[in-house]
Amino acid sequence: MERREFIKKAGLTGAALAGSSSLAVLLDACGAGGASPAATQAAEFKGTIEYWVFGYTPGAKPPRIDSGVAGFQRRNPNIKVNLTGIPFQGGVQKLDAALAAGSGGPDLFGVASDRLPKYVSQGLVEPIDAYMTAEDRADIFQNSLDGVKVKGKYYGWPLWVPPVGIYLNKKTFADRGVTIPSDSWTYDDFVEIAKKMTWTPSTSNQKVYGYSSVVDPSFLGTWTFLYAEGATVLNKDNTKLGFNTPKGIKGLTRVADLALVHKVTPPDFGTQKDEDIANAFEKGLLAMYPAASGNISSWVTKKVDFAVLPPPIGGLGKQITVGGLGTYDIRKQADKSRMAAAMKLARYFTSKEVVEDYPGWYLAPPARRSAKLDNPAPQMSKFQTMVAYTQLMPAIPQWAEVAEQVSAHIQLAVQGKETPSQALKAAADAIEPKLKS
Amino acid sequence: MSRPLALGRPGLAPAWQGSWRRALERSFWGYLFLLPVLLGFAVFLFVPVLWSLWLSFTNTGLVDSEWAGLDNYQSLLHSSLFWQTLRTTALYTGVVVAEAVLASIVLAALIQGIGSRRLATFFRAAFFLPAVTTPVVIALVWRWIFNTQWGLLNYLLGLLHLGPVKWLSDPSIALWSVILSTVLTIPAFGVVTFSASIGSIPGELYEAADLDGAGPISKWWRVTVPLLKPTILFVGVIYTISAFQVFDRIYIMTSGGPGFATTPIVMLIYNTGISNWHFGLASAQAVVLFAIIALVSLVQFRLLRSDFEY
Repeated sequence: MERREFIKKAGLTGAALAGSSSLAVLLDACGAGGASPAATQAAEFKGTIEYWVFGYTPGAKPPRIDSGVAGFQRRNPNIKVNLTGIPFQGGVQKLDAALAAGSGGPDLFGVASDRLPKYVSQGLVEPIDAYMTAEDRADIFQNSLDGVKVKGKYYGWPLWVPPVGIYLNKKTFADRGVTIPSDSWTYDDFVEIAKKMTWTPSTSNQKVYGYSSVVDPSFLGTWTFLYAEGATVLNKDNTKLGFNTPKGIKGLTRVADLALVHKVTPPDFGTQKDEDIANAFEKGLLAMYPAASGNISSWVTKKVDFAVLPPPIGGLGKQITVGGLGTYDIRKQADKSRMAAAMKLARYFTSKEVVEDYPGWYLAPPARRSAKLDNPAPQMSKFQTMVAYTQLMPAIPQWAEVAEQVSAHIQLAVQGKETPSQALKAAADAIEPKLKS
Repeated sequence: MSRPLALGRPGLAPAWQGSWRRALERSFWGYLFLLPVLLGFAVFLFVPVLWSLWLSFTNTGLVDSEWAGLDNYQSLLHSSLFWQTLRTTALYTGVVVAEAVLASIVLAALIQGIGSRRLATFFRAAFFLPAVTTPVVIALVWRWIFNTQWGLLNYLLGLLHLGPVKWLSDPSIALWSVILSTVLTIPAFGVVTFSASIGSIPGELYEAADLDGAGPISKWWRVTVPLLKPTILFVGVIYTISAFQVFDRIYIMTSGGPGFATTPIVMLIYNTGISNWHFGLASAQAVVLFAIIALVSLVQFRLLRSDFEY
């Protein structure tokens, strides 16, 4: 209660302090016809803003974060940026605790958009509506903007959209004499190829499997098969499990069939971890697996010859995939000029300007039309074309529970312990009361 | 002006006040030295426990909090997942604690029976090794052993033309695999504690039993086991608390899956509170776990209370 009151008070005080400058910003925006409303407030700020980064260590190579910050500071000499690295493991909890504490935490941080609704529900992040120009709105892809829309406002600057594609080990395909299919492959093509790619080479006693995937709440690779049948995870008003429909059941049946009927997956399909799948793919013991664009750099570094394809086309009759949305988010606070400076940094990090200062800034397809993905790996272009039909997940505070339940029951379905309809009904029974509350 | 009623003679301090003062004078320095520990205990344990109890009657997010009365407890009553995790934890605890106590006594007795003192010390040290190894590393090794495709167990079964068994991916087997990995890890703490306890049983008691014509089994059952009862209680309670709080081993090996087949109650508390920000509900789960552990410990104290002294 006390922390909540503190934040409310902080907000009111901030609003009172910023009252005069708000009017100036409004006038400035009207008069300038699209200049950033944040510019005036940010120009008033002289000092240091705190930026928390997952996995950052000072002096890391390549110097992506350091170069990005240096580029911003060159363009904005009055604003200094203090970097704090937080670990991927347990870092989210540190971030949550710092945000809840009300002060001393980051002014700017980057998280996946699925966490945003929780922060919004607790009043911890500032909407970006007042800081976006008309050009920004036109430049950012609509599905990315929708991905940060919570209760009618935009929270978080969309950075990039890593869609899920299918990675294929080209050497394993060559060893088996199977041609890499075209982007327009169908589920039936996929099954045929997976069957051919499930074999035991004469030179080895270890079996090669056609397909596998991580099935856990943090990765939605298997969900592409349900989306390919026309199902969506939730219904339009986010009150019901959309997968628990004939289309969703058909999609999950197709996933389960890979293991139970076609037998193209390893015996522990559904419970394998990232490293199990990566090891098998690298050693040529797995022909295909789904992942986002982040895996490209790993295979390039390890000199694994691979191709990327969009997920196979299903009953929907057209290409579709699922993806996440990386965002930069600003902590709500009383000091409006400081917040505006943080907004300015977030806008820079999600713009085309940052690429001018550090060409390799974007590691996944950018959320803006104007920003360029300067990545020499040819596979990245495949991901870039997928952005147009990537389905982002609904922005709701209960997202973690939805993902947890759906993943758990997919695991049971692919192991044959629940039928697809039982699995999705059980997930719906667990989720829907929470969606309605 | 009112004065408090003096129970003793007028002008003299009451008797209880004198005894308090004497006790304080006698133990002042002792309490002073204990103060930092007591403060630490209060700040970092007692207050959080009480706070958690209070939170269990609220709906608390990362920032927001509102009074919820018994809603969280009612929600637990109707949560099939909560009951499933309790059953999983109870099964894990029952098997693991029984095996750990039994294996500890047997191993300690075998070590005690070794004639060479040097050899006995070597075995004690060897059996203590698992206690100084990171549980995460042990869990990772077991995950490899249980791997369906290239794990050690399925390789050995393959030599016998058996398997492969889906040790960690079949929901009906996964929990038993986790239990197996635990029971096959030497209960280091128990072995060392029982070794010390058996070593301190006076030799005269065994000599007297010899004179009465008792055989080895009779001596074990009628002399050793009764005198180990306080240690059995101690080790049993410690292992019970530890087993009820199992998390890291399961998190590494199965992450609670497949489905929720291996999710223990502490993992549910973690997910509810830390991942989903339902701190009130998570606190209610923790309070129920606390009550269960307290109840089980109480039963253990009742059953294993010992009147033997030596």
